[in-house]
Amino acid sequence: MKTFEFFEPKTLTEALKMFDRYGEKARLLAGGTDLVVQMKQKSIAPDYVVSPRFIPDFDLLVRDEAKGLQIAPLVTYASLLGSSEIQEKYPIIVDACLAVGTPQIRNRGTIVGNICNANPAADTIPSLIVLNSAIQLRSFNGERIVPVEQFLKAPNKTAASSSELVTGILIPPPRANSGGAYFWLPKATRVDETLVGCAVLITINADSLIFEDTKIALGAVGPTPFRARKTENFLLGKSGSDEVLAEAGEIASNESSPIGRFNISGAYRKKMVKVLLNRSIKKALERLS
Amino acid sequence: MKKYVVSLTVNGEKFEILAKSTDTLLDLLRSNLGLTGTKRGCNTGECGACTVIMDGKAVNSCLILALDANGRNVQTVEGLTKGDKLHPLQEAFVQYGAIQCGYCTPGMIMSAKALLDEKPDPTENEIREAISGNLCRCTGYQKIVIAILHVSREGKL
Repeated sequence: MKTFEFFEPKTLTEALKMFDRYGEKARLLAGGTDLVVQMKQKSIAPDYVVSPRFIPDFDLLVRDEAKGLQIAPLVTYASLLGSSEIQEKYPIIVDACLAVGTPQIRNRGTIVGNICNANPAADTIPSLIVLNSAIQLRSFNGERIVPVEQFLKAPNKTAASSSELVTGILIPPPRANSGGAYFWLPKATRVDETLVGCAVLITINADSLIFEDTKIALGAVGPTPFRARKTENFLLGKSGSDEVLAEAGEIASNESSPIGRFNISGAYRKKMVKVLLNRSIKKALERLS
Repeated sequence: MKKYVVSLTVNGEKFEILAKSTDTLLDLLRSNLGLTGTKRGCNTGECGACTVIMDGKAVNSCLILALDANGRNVQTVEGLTKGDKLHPLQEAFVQYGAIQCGYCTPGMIMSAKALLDEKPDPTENEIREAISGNLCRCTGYQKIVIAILHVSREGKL
C-alpha cells in the first residue's frame, strides 16, 4: 500500500471539511472490506484515509413507522441481519446482506460502503432499488438526496462528488400487500462473486390477486444494476401463473447485457436471469403481507 | 515514515505499539507481538486464515488497518490456551482429526469460538455457516464440523 495520513474526525463537520479540502485524494474508511483490499492491490491510493468511527450516530439504524428506515454509514451487514425488525419487515434486505461475502466480512462491511463501491455485481443494490431507496449526501456546503437508481453512474462510479459523503440510506416503509425477495447466482460456492442478482418487489391487488405494481432490479448483468422496466410493465395486471413467469423471464433475459467473466459466458448468465426471476417472484409472493 | 501509537488489548493484555499507517492488525499481531498463530493466507479477506475475534466478532485481521484497531479488544488463538491446558475447541480439533496441515486451524477455531460464544448450541447448518469464511484445502471440512459439534454438545455426541 502507498503510505497515507490517517484522520479520525470527532464530528461530521470536521470530516466534511477534510473532504472539501482533500477531495479525490481522500477516502472514507467504513468497514474497510473493499477499501483496504483495493489499497493493497493499488487500484486506489489515497493520500488521506478518514475514519468516521468517532462521529456520533454514524452507526445508527433507525426505524420509524411512518418514515421507514434510515441506515447510517457504519451499520454493518451483521447488524442489519441481527435486527428482528429488518427480518420481519424487510426480508429482502436479509436476502441481500446474506449474499455478501463471509461472516467475517459481514461483521465489518457496511451497506453504505457496498453502494459507494458501486460494483456492478454488488448484492445490496438491486434490493435497494426495488425498495425505492434514496441516498443522503452531505458536503461542507450543503446536502442533497438522490434516488438510488440515479446514484449509480458506471462500474465503480457513483453520483457523489469527491467532496461529498453518503450519510445515510433512506428506505420507505413497506407497502401493504407486498412481498420482496433477492436471489443470486454465485460463481461456485455461496461466498463467491455474484454472477446474476435479481431483486423483486411485488404488490398485488388484495381482491383480484393480480400484480398491481412490480419492481424488478437486476445486478451483475449490465454496467450498473438496473430496473428491468419492460419486464415490470409486462407483469402489470397479470397473475403469477407459470406461463406469465416464463414469458417475464424471457423479457428480463433480453433486457440484460452480461459480459463474459471468470470463464463464464454472458449467454449462460442471460439464461440464469430467467431462472432467478422465476424463483424470486415465487418467493416474493410467498412473503406477501 | 510517520508512525502512530496504537493502543489495544490482545488476549487480555494491554499493548502500545508504534505502527505505520499501512500496517494491518495482522501485521501487528504477527510482527510486532510475535503472535504467529494467526496466519496470512490470501491477504484479501477471502480465505479466513487471518481470523481473530475483535470486540466480540470474528473478523479478517488482514483487512483491518492497525490504526483502526486502536482502542479495541482482540482475541487470538494463543489466548485460548491457559498455560499447558488446551481450550476444548483445540482439544477437539486434535482428537477428531480436524487438523492436517494446520494452516486454516487458528482461523477455523476463532470462527468456531465466535459462534459458540454467541450460540452455545448451534445446529450443524449454523456451524457450517459460521465457518463458511474459512477455507480448508486438506480436510474436506467434515471433521472440523464434527469437532465443533462435539464441543457444543460437550461430548454428548
